[in-house]
Amino acid sequence: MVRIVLASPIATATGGERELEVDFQGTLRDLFDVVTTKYGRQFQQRILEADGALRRFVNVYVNGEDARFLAGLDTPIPRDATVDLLPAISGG
Amino acid sequence: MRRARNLERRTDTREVWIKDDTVNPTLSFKDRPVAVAIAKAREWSLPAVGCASTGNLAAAVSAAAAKARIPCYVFVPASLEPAKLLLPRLYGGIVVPIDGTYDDANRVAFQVADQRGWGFVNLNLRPYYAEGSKTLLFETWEQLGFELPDVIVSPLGSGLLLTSLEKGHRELSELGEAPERPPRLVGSQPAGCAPIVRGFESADGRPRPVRKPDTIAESLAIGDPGSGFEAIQSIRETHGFADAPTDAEILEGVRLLAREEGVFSEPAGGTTVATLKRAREDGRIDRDERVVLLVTGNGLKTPAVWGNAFPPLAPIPPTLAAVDAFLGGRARG
Repeated sequence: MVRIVLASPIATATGGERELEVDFQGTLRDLFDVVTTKYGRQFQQRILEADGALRRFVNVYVNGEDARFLAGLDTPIPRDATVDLLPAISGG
Repeated sequence: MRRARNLERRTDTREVWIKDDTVNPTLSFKDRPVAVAIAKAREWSLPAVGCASTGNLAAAVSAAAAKARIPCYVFVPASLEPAKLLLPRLYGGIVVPIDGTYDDANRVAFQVADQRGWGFVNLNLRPYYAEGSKTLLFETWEQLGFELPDVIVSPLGSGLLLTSLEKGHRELSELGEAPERPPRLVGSQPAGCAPIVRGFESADGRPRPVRKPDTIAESLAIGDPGSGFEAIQSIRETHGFADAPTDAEILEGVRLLAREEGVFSEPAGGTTVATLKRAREDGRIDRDERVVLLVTGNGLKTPAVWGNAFPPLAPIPPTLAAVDAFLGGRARG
């Protein structure tokens, strides 16, 4: 199962659910499609720009690695992966 | 604020000032934003406070939390310089040493703060924290006789300091206390970690994240700057520029500050001096512009950057002959 962990500012898009488990294997883009099917377009709009790119206010980590340093939305997601969604807030 | 007349001569600039934050209570500008954020944490009776830090913030939060009697947790890269790991522990903060970069520490810190309901000053208390950074602009204005300079050169880590300067000017202007035209905001970042500078240079104006920062300016080693996009906008809107000196130029900047102005800065301060020097050489800063350099942290926190530049001194006997020999002969006249 893929485990998706959402920080509370992002979990507003999943009705407050902060941990999701999805039986899935595919790319990060496909994973977001699956979650969007369950939680609706509000999830998609929270994560992705209108043109389908990752929003700059959201950081996505696949097994602790920033997806931008992997293959972005094309990053393959292993069946037992943990995907963290955090607001892009960093630095002093 | 110090008038830097020797640096003016060295850089052929009419007027240079140093906004010297090396002498704040915990020896960096971070005491400013932390004061506001911790006040908010007290107002809300948060059970604990903390931060993700490249060092200076860890000390500032730990000290303020000690005074406010709030438990404090600071997340830092374990590879930080010893002095930067010592200070927060001395103030009673719990240092959580992360095996990774600042960005790794930041990610896990956010998750911990989110899960436990703690107030992390640069994460979930960030809007209040940013208000404290504005005081650098307000004080600059006040200390220049209620005038703003033509150019402010600021180090860039997350970019929040620079955007706070822009906000500070906007508020002064709205109050009728400053002209509408802002100072040109110039951001300086080490070449080994320059996501904002590279974004400034790009057409889309988006920061270019750096996976593994490689610079002696540890306090600026933020590969994924949270306010990078906004900083680029502020730089562009104020007709400033962004610059990325090398580590060698940064160290030379620190030396210049020390030997010309008697100010001992950590590398972040050398970064702004290096940018002034480079920008005077290629004309990005005009000779007649009034320039303020932000020097944001004390050099005593980063002695390791000097490596073997100052080797240990061999003792000499307490005799005139020995001193003469040591000094290479007796001075005449």
